[in-house]
Amino acid sequence: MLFNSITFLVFLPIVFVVYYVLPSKWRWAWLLAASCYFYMWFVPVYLLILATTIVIDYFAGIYIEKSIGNRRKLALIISLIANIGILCVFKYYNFFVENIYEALAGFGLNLTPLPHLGILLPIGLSFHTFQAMSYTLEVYKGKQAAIKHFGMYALYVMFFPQLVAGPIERPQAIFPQFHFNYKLEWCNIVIGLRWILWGLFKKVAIADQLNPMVSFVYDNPEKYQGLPIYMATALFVFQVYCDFSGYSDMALGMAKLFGVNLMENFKNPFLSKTFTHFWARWHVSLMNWFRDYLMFPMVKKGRPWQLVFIFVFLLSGFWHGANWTFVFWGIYNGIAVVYTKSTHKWREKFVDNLGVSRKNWFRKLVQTLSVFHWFALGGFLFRGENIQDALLLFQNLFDGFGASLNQAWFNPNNARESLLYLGSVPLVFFIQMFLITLLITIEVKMKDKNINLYFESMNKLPRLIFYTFLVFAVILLSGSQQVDFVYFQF
Amino acid sequence: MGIKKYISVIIWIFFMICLDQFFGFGMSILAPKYKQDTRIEKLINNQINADILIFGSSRALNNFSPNEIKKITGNTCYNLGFSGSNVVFHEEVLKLALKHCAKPKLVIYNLDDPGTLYENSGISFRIDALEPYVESNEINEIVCKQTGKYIWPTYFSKSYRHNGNFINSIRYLLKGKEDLDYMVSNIDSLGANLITPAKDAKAPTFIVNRILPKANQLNLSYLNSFKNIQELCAANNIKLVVCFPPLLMKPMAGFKTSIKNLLEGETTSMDYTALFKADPKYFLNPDHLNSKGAIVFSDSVAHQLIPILK
Repeated sequence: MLFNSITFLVFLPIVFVVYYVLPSKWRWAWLLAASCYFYMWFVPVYLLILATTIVIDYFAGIYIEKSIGNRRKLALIISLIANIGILCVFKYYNFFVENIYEALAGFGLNLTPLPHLGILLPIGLSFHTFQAMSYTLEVYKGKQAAIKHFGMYALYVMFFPQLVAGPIERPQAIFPQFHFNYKLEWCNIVIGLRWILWGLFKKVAIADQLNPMVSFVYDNPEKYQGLPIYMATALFVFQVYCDFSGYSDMALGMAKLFGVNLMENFKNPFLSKTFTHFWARWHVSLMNWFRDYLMFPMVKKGRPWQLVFIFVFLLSGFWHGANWTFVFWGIYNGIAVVYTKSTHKWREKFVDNLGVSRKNWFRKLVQTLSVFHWFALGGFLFRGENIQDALLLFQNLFDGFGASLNQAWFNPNNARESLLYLGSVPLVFFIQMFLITLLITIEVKMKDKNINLYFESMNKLPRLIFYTFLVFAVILLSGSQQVDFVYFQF
Repeated sequence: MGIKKYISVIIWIFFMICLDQFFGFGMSILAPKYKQDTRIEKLINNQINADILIFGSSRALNNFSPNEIKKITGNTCYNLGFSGSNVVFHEEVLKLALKHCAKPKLVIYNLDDPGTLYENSGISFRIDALEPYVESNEINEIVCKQTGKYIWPTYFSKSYRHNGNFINSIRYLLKGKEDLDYMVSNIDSLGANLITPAKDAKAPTFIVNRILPKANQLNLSYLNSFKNIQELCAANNIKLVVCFPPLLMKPMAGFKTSIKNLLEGETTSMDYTALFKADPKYFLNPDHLNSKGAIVFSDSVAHQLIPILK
C-alpha cells in the first residue's frame, strides 16, 4: 500500500478514527494490527521475515540487559548477525554470488555458480533492519532499557508510518512516546495534515511528473549528448529529493496524527553551503546511524578520519543497493566530503583574500550551486543501470554540449522537445519548472524552519489559498498510475 | 476546537468541493474541444451508423476509403481506425460501437503485422483518445481499468475524474485546437484519413531487414482481444473479415499462420500483402498506403465483400 494511493486514503482515516475511539491501553495493539496489515499488503509472507528479526532482537535485548561481560557481547553479536544475515540473504546474496564467481573465473576457476535467489526484496528491509539494530546496540550501550512488552517492541519496528522507508529512529526517541495516552487534539491533526499535504505535493506533483523525463534519457544513455543529460541529471536530483523527502514528510505527519513525533529526515539540504553540511541535512536518520555506530567509534579508536569517512560512505552507498554503482556512489560522496572538510578553511581563506565577503549573496549562490552539482554528478551512479552507463553518461555530458545547446536554442526539427523538454509536452515541462521554482522559493523562505512552522508563520488567507493550491496540484497532477517511492527498493 | 473553527473548516471544505466541480466541469468542456478527431464523441452520441465498420490502427485509418467501399458495395461504411492503437483498444471501440450504433452488417478488422499479436513500441491502448470523454461513465470505466485509476473517487471528485485532461484543457485555453496531424487526426467525414504525399516527397523503399519482435513479446491479452472481437461479431450475427493489408516490406514469418490458427467460426480472412507487388507508387511509407494505393486497395476489398454481404 503506497502512501500516495487511494487505498491508503481509506486505510489511514479508519486507523485514525478507531485509534482514538479505543481506550489508550489497547491502542498499541490496534496500531500493530494496522501495521501488519499495511506490510502484508505488499507481500504477505514477508511478515515472517520481519517477525523473525523482531523475536530475535526482543529476546536479545532482554538477555543483553540481564547479562554481563562476554555473554552480553555474545547476545549482541548474535542479534547483529541475525539482522545483517537476513539483509545479506535477501538483498546481497545474488550480488555476492555473481561477483565471487566472476572473481574466481578471473583466476581460472570456473565453478558452477550457485543458483540465483529469484525473490523480491522485502520492502523497506534495510530501514527496519537498521532500526532494529539500533535497539540492541542502545541496550548494549546501556542507553536504553530492554523492553519487556513484546507488542510494544514489535510496534517499534513495525510502526507503519516509518516501516518501509524510515526515518530510522532510535529507541530512546520512540519508546517514551509509546504510552498512547494521547487526546485527540486539533493542533496535532493540523500539524499532521500539513506534513502529509506537503509530502504528497512533493511526491505526486513533482517527483512522479519528473520520472518519465528522467527515464527518457537514463533509459537510453547512448542516445543523448550534452544538454539532455544535464537536464535529466538535474531533474533527477529534484525527483529523488521530492520522492524521498515527500515520503518522510508524510511519515512524520501520519505519526503526528497518532501523537508520535518522528525526526525530520531532510532539513533543506539544497540550501547547504558545503558538501559536508549537505550530508548533515540529507537522509539525516541514516547518516546519524552511521555516524553514531560506525564513524565515531572508529575515529575514537584512532583510525584516520579520512579513511573512516570514505569507508562509511561506501557502506552507506552499499546500504542503498546491491550494485557496484551504489558502492562507487558511496565512495564518490565519501571522497567529496573528505575533500570538502580537508580544504574548507583554506578555500574560505582564499575567497576571503579575494575580497568577497562571506555574506555576499553571489558567493552563497556559487557555494549552493556547487553543492547541488556535486550531488547531481553522483546521480549518474545512483540512477545509472550499471557502471558502463554511468561512465557513458558522464562522457556524453561533455561531448556535444555546445551543439545540443545550439539545437535547443534554434529548435530545428522540433529538437527542443527531446533536448530540453526530455520527451514531455512543453506545457508539462514548464509546469514542472514552475513547481520546482516554487519548492525552492519556499525552502529558501523556510531557512531552518520546517514546513509546519512555515505554514504557521503565514497569514490565514494566504495559508488557506496555499492549502487549496497544494490540494489541487495533487488532484490534477496525480498520474493515472502510482509510481513507487524510489527508496522502497532499499 | 471552538465552533468558529468548525465553521471555517466546513466553509473551506465546501469551497474546495465547489472548486473541484468547477475545474472538473471546465475540463469536461475544454478537453473534447481540443481534439481534432471527434469520432469517439460521435460514437458515444450514437452518430455513427454504417453497414460496414472498419477497425484497426493507422494501417486501417490510412488504407481504407469508406467512400470507395460504399460506391462498390452499395453499403454505407465508416472508418474507426486509430493510429498507434492496439487490438485491446480496438475491442473496446467495437464494444462501444455495438452499444451505440445501429448493428453493422459487416466488420473489417485490419491486421497489423506483427502488432496485432506482439508487443510493439509503436502501438498502445490509446487512452488519450478516450480521456476527453470520461464524463461518460462507460468511457470512464474503460480508462480507469486501463490506467489502474481507482474508479470510486472519480464519482466524488470531478477534477480527479478529469485529471488526465488537465494539460489538454490548458493547451486549448492557450492555443485553441490541437495541431492537425496529417498522419493521425486529419479525419474526413467517413472517419478515414487518406494521405496524398507531398510533390517533392521521396518514394519509399522496400524494407528487407525488419526489426521483428521476439517470441516472448507475444502478448496474451492481445490474443484474447483478437478472439473477443471474433466472438463479439459472432454473437451479434455480424460478418467479420480480417484483412492483411499491403506492405512495402517482407511479412513476418509465421504471422499469417498464427492469425489463421486463431480464426474462429465464419471469420473470413483476406490477404492483400502482395497486392501492389512492392510498387512504391502506392505507398506513403513502408507501413501505409497513400491515397492512390488506399483507393485501389479499398476497391479490391469491396469487390471481395460483395458476395459476403449477400
